[in-house]
Amino acid sequence: MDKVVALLLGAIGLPVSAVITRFLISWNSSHGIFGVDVHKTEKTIVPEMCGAAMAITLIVLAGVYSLVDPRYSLQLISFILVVGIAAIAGALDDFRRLGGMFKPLVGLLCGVPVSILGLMFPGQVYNPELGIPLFGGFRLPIIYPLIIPLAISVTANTVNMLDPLNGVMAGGIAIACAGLLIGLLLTAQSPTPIFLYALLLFVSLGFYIYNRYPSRAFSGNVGQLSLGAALGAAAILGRAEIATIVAIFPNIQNSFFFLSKIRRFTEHRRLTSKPTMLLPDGRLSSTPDRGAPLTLVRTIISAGPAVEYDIVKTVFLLYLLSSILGFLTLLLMGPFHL
Amino acid sequence: MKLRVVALQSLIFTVEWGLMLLGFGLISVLIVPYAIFPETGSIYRFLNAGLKALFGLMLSLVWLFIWDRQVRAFFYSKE
Repeated sequence: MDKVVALLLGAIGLPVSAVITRFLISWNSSHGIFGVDVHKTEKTIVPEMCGAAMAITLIVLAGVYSLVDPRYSLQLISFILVVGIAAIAGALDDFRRLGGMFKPLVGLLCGVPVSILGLMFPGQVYNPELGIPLFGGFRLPIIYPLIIPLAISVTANTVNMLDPLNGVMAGGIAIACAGLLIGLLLTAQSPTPIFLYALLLFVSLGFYIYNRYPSRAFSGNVGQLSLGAALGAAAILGRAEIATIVAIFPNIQNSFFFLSKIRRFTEHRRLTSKPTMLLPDGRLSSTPDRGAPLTLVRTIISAGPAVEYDIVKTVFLLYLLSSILGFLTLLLMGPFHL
Repeated sequence: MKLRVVALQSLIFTVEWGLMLLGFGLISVLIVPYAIFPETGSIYRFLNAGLKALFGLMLSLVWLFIWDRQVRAFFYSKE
């Protein structure tokens, strides 16, 4: 019964997120908050920072769930703090265009409430036992709280980095969370992970309605960072750390190859060598520039140019595969308690 | 749809997934149960934890290196 309530409350995230996104499209348009869709030949103007709808929905529904089931209120408070800090940092970056190091550092800050609350209330926020598929697991009482800020910074920034085309971030994270949610419904003994992953899935889908190709709303850093940080927090609070890493393999590959080529934290807009270029016929092509980062999109079009919609479908197929692997990882871990 | 890309990327993801499970298995069977220093004081507990984390970090780097080689070999061999 607990699991059904958690699932239903998470599903409310879809209409709430969609309604708030719709409102933000109008509000941001009337206040001049726009971005340019650089992958369209006509350079369409699209309302920016509408991803705030996801942050608001995540925070509000996590708050509602903490009232519905107060047993998990400490976990949900830490989740709310993570999303809140990430959203504020993302909004600041959207308005002020801060430096490349800002987001990784703020990502670290996002995880601090989880570590502190976990140390103050042992066993009530997270479990420092890392579940390992096939091999049981092992306790990491010293390392685990230190790794939490790093893990949340990684997920926040890796989600932030893979939103180059219409709908890729929201659709991709929704696919990743769908596989994990099915796995958790079969393995988790507590309703909290089910609620968190259902919430992430449906909130992403609600935003995806307006963000899908051709986009009527852009997420902005506010949405990307808060969704990524929320995913990291859900992985830690829901004890699905390894499965979540597997489910976001496309993000991991994109970030790793970006950083291994550029060798520093920097903003896409500050890159002198862009990984892709727009052809006059509207297709995207890989750049011949050897200094450009080897992003996931560039890898997909390395064999030849493609239209944006086809690239998005390819990325979704990759998310589907990694989501299935994430699901299998959870099955191999077996039933677990928080 | 870029089916060749999807097939190659699927191979890369599956290999990396298998290596990840193998790596965590190695850590949980060969590294975690053993203490390098006798755990008589808190400083030794921290040293043991640090060394085990270092081993995990080294395995992660090997894992990423294999990922890197695969992507470069499949998609950027001409470069």
